[in-house]
Amino acid sequence: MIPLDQHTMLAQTNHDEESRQDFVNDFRVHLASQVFPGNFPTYFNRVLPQFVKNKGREPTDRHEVRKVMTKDPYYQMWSAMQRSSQEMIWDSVVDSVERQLPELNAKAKQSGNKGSLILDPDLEIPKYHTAADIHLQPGAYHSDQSDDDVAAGAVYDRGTYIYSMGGLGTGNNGLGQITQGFFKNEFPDKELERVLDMGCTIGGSVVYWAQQMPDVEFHAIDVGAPVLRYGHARAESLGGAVHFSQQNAECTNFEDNSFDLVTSHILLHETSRTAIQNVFNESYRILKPGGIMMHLDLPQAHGTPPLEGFLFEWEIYNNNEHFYAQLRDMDLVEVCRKAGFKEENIHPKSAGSIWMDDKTPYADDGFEFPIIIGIK
Amino acid sequence: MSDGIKITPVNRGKRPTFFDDPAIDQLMAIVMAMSAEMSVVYDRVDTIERLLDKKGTLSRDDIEAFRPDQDVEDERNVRRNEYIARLFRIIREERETLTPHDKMDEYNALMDELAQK
Repeated sequence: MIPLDQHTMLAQTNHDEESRQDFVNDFRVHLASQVFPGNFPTYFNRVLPQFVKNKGREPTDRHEVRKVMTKDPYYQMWSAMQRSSQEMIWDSVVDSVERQLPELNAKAKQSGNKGSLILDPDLEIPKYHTAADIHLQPGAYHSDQSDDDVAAGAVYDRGTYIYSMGGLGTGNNGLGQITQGFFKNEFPDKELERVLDMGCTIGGSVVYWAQQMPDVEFHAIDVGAPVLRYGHARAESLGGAVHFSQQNAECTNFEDNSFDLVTSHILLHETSRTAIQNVFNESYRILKPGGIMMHLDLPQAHGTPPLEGFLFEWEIYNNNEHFYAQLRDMDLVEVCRKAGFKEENIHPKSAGSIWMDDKTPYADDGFEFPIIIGIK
Repeated sequence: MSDGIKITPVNRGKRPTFFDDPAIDQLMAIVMAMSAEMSVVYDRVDTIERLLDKKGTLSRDDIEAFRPDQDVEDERNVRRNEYIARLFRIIREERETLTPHDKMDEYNALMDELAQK
């Protein structure tokens, strides 16, 4: 595994921890490249013919595929290994964080002040967030393990790097690379003074933006205190000036008409149907006239063949991504309309790895994330 | 593992099972964890061998302090991926028996047959 770029907050691995993380990474690459693809011939040669034989027709949607595919031994074996690999990510990461946590907490408290950090201990953590530890990350993103805790951020930083098999780049900022490259291409003349990133976790994306655009004022919010403490200290170490605050993107304390750009990076699928509408309403409220809303998230179900649709939803059922199920079928253009964006100012687009630098693994794999744009 | 703070799940939820007998899911998790530890031991042995080659003696601190350079990392990556390929030979073989039929011949033949009914 190519090492993550160093910064002062990154938990350091000992000899065996590094080796264990290398194994989990390579195991997951093997699963993705060698085992997962076997689901396709399994379906077309074994599962589908049996379905057609029994019913005299093909499955009409991904839900019907689920009923039969989950009984196939190849799919079962791949799934059991995939689930284990997810658990092994955290198992390979938590030891080094536990060992260094007091030191990391202390370092975060003494971090710089190019940006800032404001926490709100009274903030109610939304139910969609507490319902399950997202991606099985122990302690989720919001629970404090100690005083002035940064554990969730430290676990997240290493864990998501292995989860993505390095696909977010050695700066863990690939999604920021994508949105910024896309934005500059779509809106070359748009001047930015003030930008907000919603659901920032450790600020992987927003810090990249801030590094590239040092004259712009960047704000970033999340509901999780430990990821924000870590994110702030990480940003300071990497030289990105970002103002972090603990807020729910559904209802922020920012003034009306106060941002030129509001972004999020894979936030929506972690929230509920109602929350997504609220996030779009809030984006509209805080944008200046002419300001741009840009939410990047995971693919939706529309137009996806039944097998691909089913396989893409594996994480919903098996990796605590329950709320992604709601996003899969939502009409985000309608959500924009209801939020107040005019029809001609709503643009469902997509952006992908072509905007990532060449050094990033999978930079040329062509994967595209949907981006929903609304201009106020 | 640390004696101090333990980072624990808050709400992990019910673990899904994929096989009819959940014991098989548990066995798979155990096998995968053992595979990981075997890989860790292999890297550790490799470190010891390299240190002995170079110095003829070693201490535990030498082992902990050892970090592979790019050449060593490349060698280990090749070896680790060969190891993983050996571990999953049985899965690859099943996939290979299915792949030659991936042109959907059987499926298309069945659809033709149905269409003629």
